[in-house]
Amino acid sequence: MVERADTTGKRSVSEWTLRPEYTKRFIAATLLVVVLLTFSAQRTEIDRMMVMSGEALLSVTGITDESQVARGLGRIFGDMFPLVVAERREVGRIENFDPERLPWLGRLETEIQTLSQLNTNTLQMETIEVERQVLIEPLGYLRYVLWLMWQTIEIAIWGTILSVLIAIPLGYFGARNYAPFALLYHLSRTTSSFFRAMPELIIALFLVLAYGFGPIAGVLALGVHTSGFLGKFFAEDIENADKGPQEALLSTGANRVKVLIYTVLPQVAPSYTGYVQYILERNIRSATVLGIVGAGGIGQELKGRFEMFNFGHVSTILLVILLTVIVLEYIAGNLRKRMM
Amino acid sequence: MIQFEALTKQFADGTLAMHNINLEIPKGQFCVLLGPSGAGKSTLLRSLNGLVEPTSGRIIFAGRPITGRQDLLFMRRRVAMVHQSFNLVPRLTVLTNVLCGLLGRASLIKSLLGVFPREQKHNACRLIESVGLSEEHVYRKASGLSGGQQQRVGIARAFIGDPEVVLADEPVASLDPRISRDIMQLLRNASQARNATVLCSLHQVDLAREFADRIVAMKTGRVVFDGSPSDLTDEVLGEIYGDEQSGSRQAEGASTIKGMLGLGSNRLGEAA
Repeated sequence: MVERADTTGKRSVSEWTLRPEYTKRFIAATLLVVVLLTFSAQRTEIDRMMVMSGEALLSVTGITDESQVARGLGRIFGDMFPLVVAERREVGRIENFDPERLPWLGRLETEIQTLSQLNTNTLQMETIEVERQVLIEPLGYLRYVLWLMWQTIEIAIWGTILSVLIAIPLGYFGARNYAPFALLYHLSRTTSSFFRAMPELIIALFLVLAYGFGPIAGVLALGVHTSGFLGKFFAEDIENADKGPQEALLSTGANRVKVLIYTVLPQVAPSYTGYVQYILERNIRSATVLGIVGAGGIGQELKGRFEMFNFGHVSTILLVILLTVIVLEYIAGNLRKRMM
Repeated sequence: MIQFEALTKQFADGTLAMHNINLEIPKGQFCVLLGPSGAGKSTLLRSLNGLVEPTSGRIIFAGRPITGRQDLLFMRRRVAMVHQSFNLVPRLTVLTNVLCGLLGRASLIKSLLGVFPREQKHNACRLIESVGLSEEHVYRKASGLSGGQQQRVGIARAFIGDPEVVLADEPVASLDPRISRDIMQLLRNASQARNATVLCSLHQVDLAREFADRIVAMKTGRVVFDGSPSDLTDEVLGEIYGDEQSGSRQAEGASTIKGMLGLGSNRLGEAA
């Protein structure tokens, strides 16, 4: 375009104010962020992480031969294979063992074990060879892990049931249009937020102290934590439900509970089912981890084996968890498709 | 049956929806409320089942002044309502929707379980038939019905509790003219059969003339006309629907009404 003469009192194009690509404020803010991140990087040992990872990478490619990280990971991965699926138990330690009735696929083997023992006569250590019978179940450990996985799923199911039971009053009283008075509304909403904010691992940690090791703590922790989500979702759906039918029934003299059941519940039922399904899914994932603090299920076994450095067992457990989660996603996906 | 004594309602935003309404409606009367949108018709109707609480004045229902919660419950159980947008529960069946009209009286436990006595179900079916639906509709979801069918269910729901008063808030506003007449007919027949009082707000003047025993017209919260359908002349209509400030606008309003009545109007095009 040709620059036009300034006839209307406007400035010519060459005089138009153009803005710089980077403002001073933007540059200052960027610098500030960089400085803050530098400080924080030291506190979180980002620098060391980079050095160690670099070393590991170099040792893998064979340039250097010493790396703490590569050694550690290498040892673990080396021990993780082959997977341990068999169970070996000394016959003498099995209660009511009946050699005539061996478990499925079970077989007996005799192995010779060398033991160091103090000879009470000579007061010297000596090696002796002991013969003992062991029961070998080729798929015994896998079966045990699967059984634990099922227990974990059961923990998740009961956690979800408990969560729904807690969420029903939280949802009802947390809906502004159904709470009988404002205090109860705020109380329900605050309780929901509190439950949501408390990580289930920490809840489980406390409950293990109260109820002891085992599934009780897991079920309670899952129920309490996820009821915070469900309570909020339930309440919001009740608040957003179509008002027309509710008014229609209210004007016939039906009380709030009846109105809720006959007008709101049919409306929100599909989304409620969706929420509960999602909570069940995430509870199964969480339940596998909860055992680490002693709250029952497969996690407890995982932690035990990890601490005994039985990485062959660990890899079996991990594989079972992985497969379960994949199968679960598949089933959940199909269910959702069928519901829509 | 119903007496309004100096009933006034002012909303929180200052709108005066009803101003000093004094009316007496005898038992069995089919009373139509006319008036432009925002005239206070809905507010008046909704004050009769407690959806609107009057600012001052009082309602005397069947000789009983309605003041406390117990009075309100007493009135609600005798008053049923037919709504403009039907207000059925979409995912429930036709039968359950009709039975919902009885929830005010049903025991809490039974309604929690969703169980209704056999006799009530038969009553509901009789009503479903009398409003022109058939057996195939009984277990169909309300969301699967046409507008006219939904309003038929709405009427069945209103009448299942044997109400003494039926409020109809523009019951045919979202229906086509032919179905509108059918629905009005149903409403009149059902109420006559039970000697129930009907208070019905309408926008269609022709329907009002055809079905009403008495027409009450409202404008900006006041009653501006109260008489028999034959007294409702075009001049009166112009006054109801026209703008109070300008005479020409008033005529325009009247001609719009004529247009609605199918009387023909040359000014309708200009108005639009």
